[in-house]
Amino acid sequence: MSFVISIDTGGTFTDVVIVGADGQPVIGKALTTHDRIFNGMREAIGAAAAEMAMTPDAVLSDTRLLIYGTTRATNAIVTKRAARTAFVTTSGFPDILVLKEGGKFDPHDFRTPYPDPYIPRRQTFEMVERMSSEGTVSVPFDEARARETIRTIVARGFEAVAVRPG
Amino acid sequence: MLIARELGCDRIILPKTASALSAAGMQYASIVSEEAVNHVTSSQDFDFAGVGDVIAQLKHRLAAFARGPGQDGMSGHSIEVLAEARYAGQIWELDTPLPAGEIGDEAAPNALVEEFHRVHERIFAVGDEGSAVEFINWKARLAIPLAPPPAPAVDVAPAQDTGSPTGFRACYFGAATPVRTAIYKSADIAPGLQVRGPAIIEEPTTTLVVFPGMSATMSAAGNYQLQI
Repeated sequence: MSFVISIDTGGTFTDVVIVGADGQPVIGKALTTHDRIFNGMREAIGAAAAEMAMTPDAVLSDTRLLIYGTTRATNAIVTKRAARTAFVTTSGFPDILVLKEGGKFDPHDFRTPYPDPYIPRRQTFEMVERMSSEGTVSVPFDEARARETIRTIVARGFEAVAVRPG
Repeated sequence: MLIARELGCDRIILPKTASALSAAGMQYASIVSEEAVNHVTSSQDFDFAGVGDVIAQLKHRLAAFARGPGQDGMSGHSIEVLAEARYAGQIWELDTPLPAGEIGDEAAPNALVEEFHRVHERIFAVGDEGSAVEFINWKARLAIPLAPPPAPAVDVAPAQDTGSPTGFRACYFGAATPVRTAIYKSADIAPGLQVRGPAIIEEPTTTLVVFPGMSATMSAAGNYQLQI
């Protein structure tokens, strides 16, 4: 006998379904533990294992497939609680995240502005470099200024960096 | 159940796995992986060798993916090849399945062009059989099927007796005075048993309130059928 475990970590609950040899799904549920996601997973697996009168370790040691799905990334974007991110782009293109036409349900509704970019304009940094459409160097990469920019990013306490080379 | 009554529904099905529906779906949905490569060509001057190489490359990458979870008795995977195609000079590419799954002889691109006309007709309600077709990107989609859901159990006739609830509680159903309400645990309920409201069914991961005048019957598969 071997088990298939599927796990769905949502913002509030972590749901687990375990299917064994009999094909019958067994449900386990626990609160999502945001500080360490696995704690909630283990508790939910334990709840389902208890329904089958087994220990979580016994179930896990006889599991052949674990399927994981989560809304954590979606929730982070929707609630804007993602990492504080610096955006690094080619010199001359600081507005690339602002000049967009996406994110509205009705593109012809001109009274509703397009949503703000995920990274605010003020967290944008420009690097001196430029590639041509043929992949050759138009403006050489200025390493000294890049290091200076990186020092600024570190000093301002950013948690992540997005890079758009061009 | 009050929402159902407001909508004028007589019956609701509450699946046994309702409280963990996404996780339950993951048990049966195929594992899917997709790879894509950009390679521009046209039906007027089709690049057989180039497209053949691209498709071989896509299938090679997906085969590597399939060897991961595929080792443990999950055989029977399939690979579908698609082209992102458009009429020459247009901008809206449509996913068009390559019927044979590979570019062999002259027939394969012709079949792909025919398929594109059909896809364009279905999505935009117009086809342009005389126009050349451009192919921009090539995609391959791997699907590894998991176990099918268990076959539905043969249904049982509803029993007339109301079983024996675990206990009773005084509950309010909108009126000023409480109503003596039967409390059932999932162990108290067998398939076919009809629970008449007012009652509360306490499952391990969900609580089902059966309002006065309504009823809940468990099907053979363990789902609840609610009668409003």
